[in-house]
Amino acid sequence: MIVDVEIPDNNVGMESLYRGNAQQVCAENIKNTYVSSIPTSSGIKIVILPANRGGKTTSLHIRNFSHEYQQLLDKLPWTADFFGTASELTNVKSLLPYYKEINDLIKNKEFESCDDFLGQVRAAELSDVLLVGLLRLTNTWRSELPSWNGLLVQSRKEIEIRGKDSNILLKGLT
Amino acid sequence: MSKLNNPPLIEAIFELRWGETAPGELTYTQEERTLFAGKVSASAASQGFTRVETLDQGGAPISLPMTVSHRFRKAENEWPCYQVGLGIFTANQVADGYSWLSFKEAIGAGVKICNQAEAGQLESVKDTLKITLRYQDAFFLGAKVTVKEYLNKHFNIEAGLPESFMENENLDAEKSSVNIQFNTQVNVPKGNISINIANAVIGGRPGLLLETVVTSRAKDAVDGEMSEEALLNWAEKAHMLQKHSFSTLVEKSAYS
Repeated sequence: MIVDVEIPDNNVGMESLYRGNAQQVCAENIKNTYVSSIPTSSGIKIVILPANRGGKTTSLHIRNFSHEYQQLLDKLPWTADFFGTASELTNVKSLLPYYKEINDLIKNKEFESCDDFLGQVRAAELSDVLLVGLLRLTNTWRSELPSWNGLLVQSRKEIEIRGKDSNILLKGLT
Repeated sequence: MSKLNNPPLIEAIFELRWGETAPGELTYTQEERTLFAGKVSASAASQGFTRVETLDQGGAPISLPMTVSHRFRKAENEWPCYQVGLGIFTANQVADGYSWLSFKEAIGAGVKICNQAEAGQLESVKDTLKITLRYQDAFFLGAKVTVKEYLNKHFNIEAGLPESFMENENLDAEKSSVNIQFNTQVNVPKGNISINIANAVIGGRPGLLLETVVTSRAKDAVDGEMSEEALLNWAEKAHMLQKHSFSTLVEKSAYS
């Protein structure tokens, strides 16, 4: 029996399957590895069809909705504008209002809120300046911000994807 | 869709996907795995799409099937753009600058890029080739409006959980989201249409994403060779269905 399960969001099924099988993946067995079968205790084979997965082919930044994201927006409304324009924030004038908001969080010791914010940041959505700037701005308080290290890992990968030297750009942060 | 005063369109995407020989079974040649994306890059550059963006594939050490790995543009943040990956090629156009005629031209140019990259590639994968025309529209609900209320008011879609379900004291009605999909078989172009409505974060703001996706298997819906003309003929039919879908599902109040 085959049950077709359509997954309309961003690679969720594929990514988790891929990570679960990371050691087994190689170019030679690409045909049979990720994408397809989800093991079930019932023995029913579930196949995720690759077709019709929205988001995967978009050239814009569209995220899955999450209540954590909504809670962040309720608590820090400025983050909506930040996430909507993060790829275009490249100069002091455009960055300053957001750096001020982040500095205020730190100054007021609102580390949990600041960490919730960092936890929602996606490096791929950041401008080149922000990729490094956010980390440097919060570096001093990294021990209070559990999401900081995750952002560093994301940023390093994204910097390399953009063809730049992450060791140079992230010098002093690791 | 191009004549609306305040269109909710955010992106139109034409997709070619191939390699799925059976549900969940994907097969690609060595050349497709290693050379095709590079050939498309060269072909796109010859048409002026010289800006190449490498896309993250979730940290995978090799190309993931049907996941775009490279994007080609004429200049930064300029559309249309083209994307390629293992078993996938797309032409994308965002709302700014969209008209069906210009997008159709972009699709044609994309097919030309694909065929120029590797003569006979699309023809050789015709048995597994799927063609898709995808439209993404965004709607923003406003404060204190539930998805069910919004759909009732602005969409000709009746869907939602009964109030009696939400009345359970263990459920938090304010923290609910939707992801609804309707699928219907289509006679012209032969294939299917799916309507997906889901909560999403669009441009940083929570909203509703309406995706309308027309998909055909090439061997069912395209006569003859996988030429630019044949694929544009399919796209024209799929676009007619997209127009029908939008005009019957979405009330003008949603975008005026």
